Amino acid sequence: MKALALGIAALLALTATYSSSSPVGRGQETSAEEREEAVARGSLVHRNNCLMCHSSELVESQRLTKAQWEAEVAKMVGWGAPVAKEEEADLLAFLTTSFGSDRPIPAPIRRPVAGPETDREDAAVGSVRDLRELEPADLGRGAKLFATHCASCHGPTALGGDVGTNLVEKPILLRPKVFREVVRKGRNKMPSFESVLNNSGEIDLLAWLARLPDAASR
Amino acid sequence: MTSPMGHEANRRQWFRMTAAGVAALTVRESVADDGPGVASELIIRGGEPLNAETPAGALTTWITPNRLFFVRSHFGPPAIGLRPWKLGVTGTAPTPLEFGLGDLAKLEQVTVPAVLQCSGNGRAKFSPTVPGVGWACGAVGNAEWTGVRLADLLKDAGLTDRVKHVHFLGADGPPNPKTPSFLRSLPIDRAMAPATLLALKMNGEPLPVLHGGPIRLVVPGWAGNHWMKWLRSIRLSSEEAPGFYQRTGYRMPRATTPPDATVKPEDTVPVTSLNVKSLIAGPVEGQRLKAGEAEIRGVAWTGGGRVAKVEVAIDGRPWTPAELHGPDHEGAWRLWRFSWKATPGRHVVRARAADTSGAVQPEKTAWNKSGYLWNGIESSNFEVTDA
Repeated sequence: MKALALGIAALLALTATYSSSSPVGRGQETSAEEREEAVARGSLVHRNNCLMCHSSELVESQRLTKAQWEAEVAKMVGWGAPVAKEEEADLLAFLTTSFGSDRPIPAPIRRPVAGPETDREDAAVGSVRDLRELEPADLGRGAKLFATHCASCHGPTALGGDVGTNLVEKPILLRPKVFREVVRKGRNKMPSFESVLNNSGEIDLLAWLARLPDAASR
Repeated sequence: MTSPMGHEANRRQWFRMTAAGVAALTVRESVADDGPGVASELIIRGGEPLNAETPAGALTTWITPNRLFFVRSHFGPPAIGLRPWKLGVTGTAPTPLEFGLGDLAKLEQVTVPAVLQCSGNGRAKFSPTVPGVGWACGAVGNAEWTGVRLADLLKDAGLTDRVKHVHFLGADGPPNPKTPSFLRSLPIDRAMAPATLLALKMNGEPLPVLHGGPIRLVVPGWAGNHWMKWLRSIRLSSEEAPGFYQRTGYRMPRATTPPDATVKPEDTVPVTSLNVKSLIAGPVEGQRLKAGEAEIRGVAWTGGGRVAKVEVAIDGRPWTPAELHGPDHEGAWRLWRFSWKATPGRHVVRARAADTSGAVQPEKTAWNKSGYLWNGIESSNFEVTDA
């Protein structure tokens, strides 16, 4: 029994060595443990970078080869995913291990996307009326606050920057409660601005953002 | 409405909890999710932005209700209501035009029934697997679209012979400036086709935001990538739209190529017209039904021309014509049905459609690296129990 276990362990170690990619600086011999750690780190890279723009199902439902994953990551980085060069290997380890061609796909979830239930949920998070009820606001102050605190990540015109997404004409602007929660608590790479912005600052900022014309009409 | 980015954390938790529960099931026992007044759940392929498809068993009616209609988003809907909606038209002489919703409502309204199918519907069927949203068969639906003929709008905008393409841009901006906008164009002939609409209503209701409201393009016979949502600007041009989503994306190899071959851009053609296809809406995969008189049913559609016939084959018997019924409109889909005596045991039914151009559904669609326009023959394995 022990010999069998040792045999299997040896086989696994061999498999891990030969199936692991050889990322820069990690050498040719990657143990199963090192690979597990890379996958764990890669999962964090995925959470902190990929989930900025889309939720996890898009990634988790894929079943791709290593070459296909490399191409997808390259495409996403080209499109603005702020994955650092040194993080790419870990991200690929996570993607190829968790969502390789040989893995079964779990059944997707089902839910209504329209109807009374979703109407209730939408009503709970807000509307244009909620936005207007917070005003009057100081738009000039809103612009200054954005330039000072937000532009470095979200871009000078709020169309998105290195680590912040496009805010122009986005649904979060209709959800003052959610907007203010995110500004206060932060999210992924976004820090908390609780100590920096007060209530009226949040309102001025939101009011200014809500009035930005979209890119097409600039 | 889609869940806002700020709710994403809560929604994701919810998804994970439910996903664990659903994953525990091996075969989803068929709930009667066809017909009015029953479960209106869609299959979620992506939460944010929302990509959700209709379960096959719900596609039994000629009109797909709005609440059941599949949803495809590149970047998710914009915030609606921040200011009055304006549709700009440029590239015309002498000055650019701007239309509000009221202006469009004053123009002649027409209603056109048409099937909308995502060009990636069926992507999950390709082998080897390809990247992209893994639609099964339900990224398709049929609706009545009401709005203004694009041709009527463009005629008033001053068309000249120089205009060869019409560019379209929606209000769904990309997440950051490095991501290409979903900017696309139609060749002028298709733009001027009488059925090409700027739709303001879907199945008699104001166009829902999830489906591109307040205005979307409707291009009957062509794949969903042309049906621009949240339409904001139109531009008349002598050139195709620049950028990824028109020049690089939504293209297929001109000739069948093996999965490991490199295809040169000049050897690709854009995805335009839909191809002939059918779908089995009942019995669905894994369903159980009682022995006795039973009906196999579904829908069938095509891009150019009309559906000529649908045939079924039960348990490997020869192809037998099914009955086409319901409304018959070019650009919309047809209902079909086949009556048989369901005997106890496990069965498999296959369905294949042919259209008036002579095209027939193949066993497998030729592989392409983006997984577009799958139209292979579908089958449904089901069980009949004693009456």
